[in-house]
Amino acid sequence: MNVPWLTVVLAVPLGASLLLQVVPRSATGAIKALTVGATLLTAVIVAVLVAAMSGTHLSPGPLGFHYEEQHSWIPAIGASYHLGLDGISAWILALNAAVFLLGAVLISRRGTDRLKLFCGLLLLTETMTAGVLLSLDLLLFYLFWEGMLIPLYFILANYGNENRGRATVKFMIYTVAGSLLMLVSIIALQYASGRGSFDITALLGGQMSRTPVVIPWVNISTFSPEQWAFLGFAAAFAIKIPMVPFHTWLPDLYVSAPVPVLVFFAGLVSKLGAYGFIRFGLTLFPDAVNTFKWLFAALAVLSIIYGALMALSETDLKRIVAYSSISHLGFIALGIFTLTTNGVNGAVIQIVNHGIIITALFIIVGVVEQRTGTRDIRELAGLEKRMPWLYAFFLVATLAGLGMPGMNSFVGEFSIMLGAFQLYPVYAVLAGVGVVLACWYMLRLHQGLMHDPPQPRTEGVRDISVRQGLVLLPLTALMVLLGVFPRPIGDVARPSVQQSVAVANGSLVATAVTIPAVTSQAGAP
Amino acid sequence: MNTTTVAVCGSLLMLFPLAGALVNALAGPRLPRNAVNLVGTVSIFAAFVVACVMLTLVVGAPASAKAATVSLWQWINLGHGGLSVGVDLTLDPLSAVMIMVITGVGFLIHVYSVGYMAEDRGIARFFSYMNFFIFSMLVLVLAADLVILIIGWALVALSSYLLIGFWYERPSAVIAARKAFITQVIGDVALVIAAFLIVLKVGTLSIPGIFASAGSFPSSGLLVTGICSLLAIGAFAKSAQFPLHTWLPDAMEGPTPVSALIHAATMVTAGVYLIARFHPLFDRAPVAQGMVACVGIGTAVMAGIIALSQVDIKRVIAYSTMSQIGLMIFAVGIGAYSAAMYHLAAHAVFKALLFMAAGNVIHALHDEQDIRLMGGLAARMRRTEVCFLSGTFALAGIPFFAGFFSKEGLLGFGLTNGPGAVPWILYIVGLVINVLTGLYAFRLWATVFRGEAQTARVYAAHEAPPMMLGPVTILAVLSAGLGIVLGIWALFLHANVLGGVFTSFLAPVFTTATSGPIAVDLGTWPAVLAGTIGTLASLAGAGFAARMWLQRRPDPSAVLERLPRALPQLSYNKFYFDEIYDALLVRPTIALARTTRKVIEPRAMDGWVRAIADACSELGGWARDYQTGLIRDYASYMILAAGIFVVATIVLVSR
Amino acid sequence: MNATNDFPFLLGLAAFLFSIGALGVLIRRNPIVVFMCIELMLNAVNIVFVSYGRYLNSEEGQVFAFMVIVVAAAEVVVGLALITQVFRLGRELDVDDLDEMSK
Repeated sequence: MNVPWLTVVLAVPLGASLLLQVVPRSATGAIKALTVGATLLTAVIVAVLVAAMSGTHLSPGPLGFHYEEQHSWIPAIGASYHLGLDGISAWILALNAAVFLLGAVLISRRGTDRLKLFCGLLLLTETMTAGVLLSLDLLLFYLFWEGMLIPLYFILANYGNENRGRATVKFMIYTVAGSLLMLVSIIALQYASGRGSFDITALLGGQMSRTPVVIPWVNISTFSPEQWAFLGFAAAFAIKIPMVPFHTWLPDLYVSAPVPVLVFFAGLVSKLGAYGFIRFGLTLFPDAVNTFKWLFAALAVLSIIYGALMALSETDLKRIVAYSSISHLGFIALGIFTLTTNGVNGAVIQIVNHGIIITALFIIVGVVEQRTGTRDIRELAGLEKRMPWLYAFFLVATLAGLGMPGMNSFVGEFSIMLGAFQLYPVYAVLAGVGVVLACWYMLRLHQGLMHDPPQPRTEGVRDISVRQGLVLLPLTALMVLLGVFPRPIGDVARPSVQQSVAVANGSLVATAVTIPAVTSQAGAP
Repeated sequence: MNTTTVAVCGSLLMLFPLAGALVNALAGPRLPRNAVNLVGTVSIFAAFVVACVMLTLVVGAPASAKAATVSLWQWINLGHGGLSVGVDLTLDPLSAVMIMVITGVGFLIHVYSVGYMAEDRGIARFFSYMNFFIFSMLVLVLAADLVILIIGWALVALSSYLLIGFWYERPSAVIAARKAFITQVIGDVALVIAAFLIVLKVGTLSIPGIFASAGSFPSSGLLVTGICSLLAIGAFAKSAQFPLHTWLPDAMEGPTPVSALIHAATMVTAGVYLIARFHPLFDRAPVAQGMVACVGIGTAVMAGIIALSQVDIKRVIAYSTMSQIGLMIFAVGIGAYSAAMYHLAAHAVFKALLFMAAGNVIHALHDEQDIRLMGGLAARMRRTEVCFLSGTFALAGIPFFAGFFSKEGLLGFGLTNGPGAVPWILYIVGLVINVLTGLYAFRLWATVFRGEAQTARVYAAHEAPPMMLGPVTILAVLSAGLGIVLGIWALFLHANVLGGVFTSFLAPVFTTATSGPIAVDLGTWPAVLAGTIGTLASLAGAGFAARMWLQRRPDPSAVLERLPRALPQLSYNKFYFDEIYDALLVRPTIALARTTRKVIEPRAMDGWVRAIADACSELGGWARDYQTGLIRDYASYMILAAGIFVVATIVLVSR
Repeated sequence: MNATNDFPFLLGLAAFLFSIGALGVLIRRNPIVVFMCIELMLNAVNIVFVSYGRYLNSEEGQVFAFMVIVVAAAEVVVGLALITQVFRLGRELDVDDLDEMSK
């Protein structure tokens, strides 16, 4: 049976959001059930797809895919409906399905204003983000990339605290500005390639001129067209990740957004920038990437240190987590711009890991705020006594957040730093400083909330609810599990990462990659 | 050795403590206290039994096959040119010694904890952390891959963090825990970077694999020196050596069994283990070895001086631990791996003993730790005093106690090996350490147990319950008996004790050393002479201390008067390291973070964004001035523009 | 008269009418008069279209002229409706007075 599973992944949440419109507004139970059901169904399909991946082979070509669908869309300009799933997008797609499922579970049926609107927008966002991860046609990708902002805008503008308006506008303008530069680059790329196609496979490996553009009259030579186009893409992705100094939209937005939104926003949306760099940045502009990698790696290191310093001095819980996220995303970006198998693999692994960690941290911080009524770390102490279960979950999340060996993020950070070390040892050492600072601010956050004598104002604070526990349990379990047994992610991502890195390093020859059998590597007896 | 047996035993060894930790963590709060105690101790006892089995496996193995490495599962594999790490275990004489020390001493301390923590409400949490520590420590010593070793390394730091901060309602404990953990992470990062250097050179992180290709590192090369220096930094962080030593005294905020287990017997000696384990690399990096030896002996002297003036009973023992580990680090630095490991094992016994005996005192005095408020406890806690004395003798290296053989052997070795005048200098420093050790060890004993009782609490003190006294007694017998038996053996059989027992057991591990001596030979006359002089130094220190603090001849305060003022000040304030680090590292970082938040973020980072926004609105404001609302204005703009257009067209066409 | 000879005169006429219209739009305040002036300008353009069509012997000019007439008619309808509304609101018919959009 030849089912277009990738389209199904896109269609399920979209269909559910349409179906939601016929449900009466007052039937909150049905609305929530439908939302959870649709996200669950998507998650199951994605899980089966990813699990079945090791049985499939990559399609031939410099970039192979495990699943591919292609239909004609706008033949006049060479745009096609081309979806594909490979090792890089597989785990991120799984993360996508998971965070939306968690977000749906976390929606409070009674506490949410205009539940139907919220659920519909959430489902729509899932379709869009999944589309971003699956598109292999640049125009289609752009459509989803921008389309994602529409439901996000309405969610962010309608839900959250009183500062959401400003924060949302800042975010929208920021991202749209970046995206438009990307659109220009997409068009330029299609035009310059001369192949009349927006398909990634047709545009691989740098099709644009590499001679510098000279400004007429003043005779100053600037970047080459390929470099300009890369910078256009980079603007969109660097803002989305975000990398310092393009990050100022993030803390404001994270502070204002409600927890179910944060779960998928922080958990996934910010990773799409990193994904974009891997999928398009590395493969479409190999020359420019190699020219600029030191710069972007430097920005990544700056993000690591800068985010850590900010997290160290902030007093607002959500802002601390937000800046810690900037620091961690810096690691991901650093891994990508090492252009080594270790680094990029580490980045993919870390995208998944960070999605898990940041989701848990925001849920925990959200619970603390909800229970105690404050987000100021100086007003909180000694919650371990009041909330032992939260303490346990928070401990695991904290350790994962600070890159504790044995937890999931260590795997990613280790390979990222190894990749960085291969290229720029100084960057790896600076990232190591970031690790020490991460330890400091995470412990400051954790101990500030949990330890010291309990305060009278937290008297009678209840522990987490069962629903929150049910969401936190799989997250923390994954943090430990992926730390002890990280191999699945690496195995799935590896072939595709190798291909992307090969393309980025100038090789367009198809590297025959098959999924290797499990090899045991016992040391010498 | 049968690899399957090793795999099963190794897994079981780690599973027992882990299971105990999980049971107590998840079900502990609902279980009765006795069940919690049982789970906590039995799991470690089971591990101890498995460890004994593993020891017999190693002992029984033929000399050529003393080491076995087994693979449990593939941790990660990033393909060709990428990282590949397996969860591998290795069992060899070195790890066998370590697991025996960890589970054996660990079990006794767990039993002791049942008594010590009898009043504490968080007993389930305590045992789950303690069991988890044993698990982590076992991972560390059994790991056959550097990454897995780093994981164990960090898990150990984690359990140490959890246990230092066990009484989380004490702000000082919370800060101490954080300080310990951050210091450990600095060491972790050093290890990780060392791992990078290794994997980029030899392409593997499997420890046997690294050693197999140790030959590819040029001897005394920059690379191997760098790797070893980084490994040593990791070891220094873990073993509380200068300059990463400041966390250990603060770590005494944890419950006393924790100090005994983690901060004396096992975790802090992991640095010694690490360097001994990586001896094939260290043997190729004499510069790094020299650095390690100097840091070790320097820390030993420094900690000995500090221990002389501290007034907190646990901190005195903590500094003595630091000093003794300094000696071990010194030993591995000069290549005396077997001697270091022997001292490690002996130290684990007598230092755990000292801490637990001190715990008895603290317990009897209801959490009083200031030795100036003690005194005269001997009359009320006779058995504790005897045990404490046994530990003190062992610590000071009094003949025929556990510490004697290990320490004097070590000094003798130092004298007979090394280039030029270096051994002599080191030996003299070693003598100073011996004198210092005798001084502070007997000062502690004298002020705590002898003399006049200083407070009413002392009169109310009672001997510790059997649950606490039992393990202490066992360790006291070990610390004294072990030494005496070995001593008799040495005297009557005239055998080379260390060479005969310990060294030959560890020899298979250290034969792969490409350079450097293997065994400590007590049979040669310089070594015997050196050992004798060293013993005399220890005895002199001990005797002087006993005279000074028992008979007040000379009175300690009078001695203090005669010393230059700076010396006691430096010693009492721990050479101001905390203050220096605070001023040089902590405060600048916090200041930088604060500047970032208050200045850079709003002005620079958000500043350029805001500047663009402001420019846009400025531009809009300018354009707005032309939107007068008068149709005639708009019409004139149109006509003006049309005029310009016409003129431009004419000009361009006519050209 | 043949098509080539009177062509410059026709353009001149159109320019003259257009200028009158433009001046009227700029100077007069009564919206109805402004309207008439706009019509004048549109018709000046119509003359240009038609005369070019004749000059180039093409029918496109005429077609465009018709387009302009239709658009002008539509404009008159909307515009007069607006003016009537303004009058109904009791406001003075003065274009300078109708500047709420800029406030």
